Amino acid sequence: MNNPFTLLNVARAASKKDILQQVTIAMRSRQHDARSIAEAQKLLFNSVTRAAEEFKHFLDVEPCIGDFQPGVATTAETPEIALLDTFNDQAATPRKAR
Amino acid sequence: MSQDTAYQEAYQQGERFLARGNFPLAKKAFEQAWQLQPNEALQAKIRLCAQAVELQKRKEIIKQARHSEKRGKFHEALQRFEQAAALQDEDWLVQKISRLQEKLRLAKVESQIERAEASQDLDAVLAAYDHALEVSHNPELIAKQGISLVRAGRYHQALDVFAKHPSGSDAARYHLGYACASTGQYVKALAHWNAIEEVADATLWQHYETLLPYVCRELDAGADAQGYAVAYHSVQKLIHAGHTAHLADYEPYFKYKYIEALWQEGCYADLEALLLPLPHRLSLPLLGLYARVYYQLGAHDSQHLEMAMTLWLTAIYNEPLLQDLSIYDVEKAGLDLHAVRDTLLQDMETLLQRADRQSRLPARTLTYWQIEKRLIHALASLPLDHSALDIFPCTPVFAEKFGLSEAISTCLSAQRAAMSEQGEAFFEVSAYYSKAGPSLMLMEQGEAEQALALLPKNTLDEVSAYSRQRVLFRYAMRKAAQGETQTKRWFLEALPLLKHSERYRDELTAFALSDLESKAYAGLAEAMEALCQHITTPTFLQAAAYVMSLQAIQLRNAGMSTAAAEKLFKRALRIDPESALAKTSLQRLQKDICWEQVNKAMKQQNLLKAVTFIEASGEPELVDLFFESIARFYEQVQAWDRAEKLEAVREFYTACYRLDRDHELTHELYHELARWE
Repeated sequence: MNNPFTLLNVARAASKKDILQQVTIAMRSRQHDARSIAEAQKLLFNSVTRAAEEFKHFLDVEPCIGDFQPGVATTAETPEIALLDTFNDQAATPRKAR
Repeated sequence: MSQDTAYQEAYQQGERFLARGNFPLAKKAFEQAWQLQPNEALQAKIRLCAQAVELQKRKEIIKQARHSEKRGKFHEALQRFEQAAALQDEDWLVQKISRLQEKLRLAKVESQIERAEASQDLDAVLAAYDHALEVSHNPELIAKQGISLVRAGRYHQALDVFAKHPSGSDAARYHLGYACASTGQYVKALAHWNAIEEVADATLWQHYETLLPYVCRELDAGADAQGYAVAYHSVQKLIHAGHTAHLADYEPYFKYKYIEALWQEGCYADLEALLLPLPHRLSLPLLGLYARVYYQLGAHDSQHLEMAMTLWLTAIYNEPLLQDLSIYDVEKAGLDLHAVRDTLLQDMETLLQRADRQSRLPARTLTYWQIEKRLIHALASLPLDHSALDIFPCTPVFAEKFGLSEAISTCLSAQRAAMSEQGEAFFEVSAYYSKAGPSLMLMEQGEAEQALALLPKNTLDEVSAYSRQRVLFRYAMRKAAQGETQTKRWFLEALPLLKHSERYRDELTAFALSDLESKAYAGLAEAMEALCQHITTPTFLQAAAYVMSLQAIQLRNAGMSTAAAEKLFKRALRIDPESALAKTSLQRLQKDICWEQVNKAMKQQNLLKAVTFIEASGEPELVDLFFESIARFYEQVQAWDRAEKLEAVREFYTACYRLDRDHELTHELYHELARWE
């Protein structure tokens, strides 16, 4: 169940050239065994299996969020919040556990 | 009074006081006696009394000290405890003195702090705190220092203080959070505020709302799942507190970003809590998300596989999800989506089989998988107008879970006329998406009784009627195999299905012709005989006659009369006149009937009548049996006297001649008669 993209440290839209480069690096680093690296390369070099692996291992949440742009309304560099006195009046003593 | 007497008096008095526990007076009395007559024993008593007096005194001092402490007069209490310790030191007394000293020091420094704060001189306040902390490393004091620093606007200093000595008070948490917010650490600010146990001021929620956009900015710059968890829980707190304005977008935003972060970190187990409860409806993007997450969950824990396979099948059959892959940016040539789907299908199949091999899969899961796989493929293959549906196709279980069953049934019905050529395929697919779908699924996994109980009562539409017949047919088959004798009514209710579907007719036929247990024939024979009035295909009729014949044979072997058995075989032959089994069995039976008649006639010594029966049967075997019998009788009559023997031989000859004039026995009897006559 290894993710070949993660194993070879390649981006989702990596080209075959990128993949080959990463295969070389992975072989040298010896973080994974040669068989796993070869298997990962094989999966990513075949367009069908690559598409299947991409489908399995990449999650797209942007469509679920929709058009919401949270930072758009932010104009000031820093927020302005006034310090409340209410908490200052409280003792600094931690509450006893209930 | 003599010295002795005075000594005795004083001594006795001392003893009396000692006995009563009045040590001061006892000591005084003993001292008086000592003056008169000093001695070792008396000295010891005096020492004893002195010690007791000291102890009493100490006890009294401690009592006074406690009293002072209770009334808040710590200085006085400390003095008294110290006095008591001077008389006799003990560990608890040492600790008590140490605590009181600490308390006094703390009170002193606190009053210094109060005076400094009253002067509003920040430097004086900070100096007072520094001094206080040198005196006493009290956590409360440290928290107060931190709070003062925040109020003075010295946020970084405050953060240092709080970092070294975290405080559990709400006041400290609030100020610490404020310091974080003031230094651009918005997520940390929320994290500290989330820990506040009792929000005394609702304005705090406005702080939250103000910070949210900044939190988003901070997280977008690079955050792990923990950061999004804080943001998400903050929004949850706001909603819980009733501050739902402006949050409609933030909640899903943080939730899905949190999900994304957990996914990237491989924390699949934590994802489930965020996805439950399942929404009533799934959009296409959500379908993709849920399918992928549950796939991973199922890969790690087989209890999720049932949900995973339903979502997975639906997702991989919805082409927009397969088309939305970056592979298209890389591979310019067309991608075979069917091949991709097959690969993804195989991946799920592998997960299921692996779990099954490890006995971690309920039996029904694989059955459901096969059914769902078959049906979604069939649904996808039908020429339907599904433009009104966001998600199409989907599995029956998916449709039921997410409220799509009715829409799909409507879609199928709308295209019914156009699919007249699909025939069976239309009904097969429609049935599982109808209200009877769950019942059918239960039936498929062998839960016959439950399936029957779950069937909808209203079967006015043709799909529901078809579904009902499917369930009843399967139920009847199961019951027949179990030896249930009353299956006719279930099969008859499923008659329309059997009439129109060759597949189910063939299934019943094959079942009837298979090697069944003997108990299965009784109910099955009756049912098939009844069905034959409506189903007249040759193979079906043959199977019915076959089963009926087998049942008749069983009954005959169990002692049924020949007449009754003959009727059964004849009924089978009416259904299939060419039934070899029925014919052979009937012949054999009729042979038996005839032989019974022959035996009866022979017992009545009416050989000609017996011969008549044999002639009528036309059975050569019966002829042989007759001649064997006559041969035995012929031997027996050899011992008779001449006249009777002649009579008997004459009768034998007449009968034999009629049956077979060329038989050896006939010739022998002729020669016997000729010899005598």
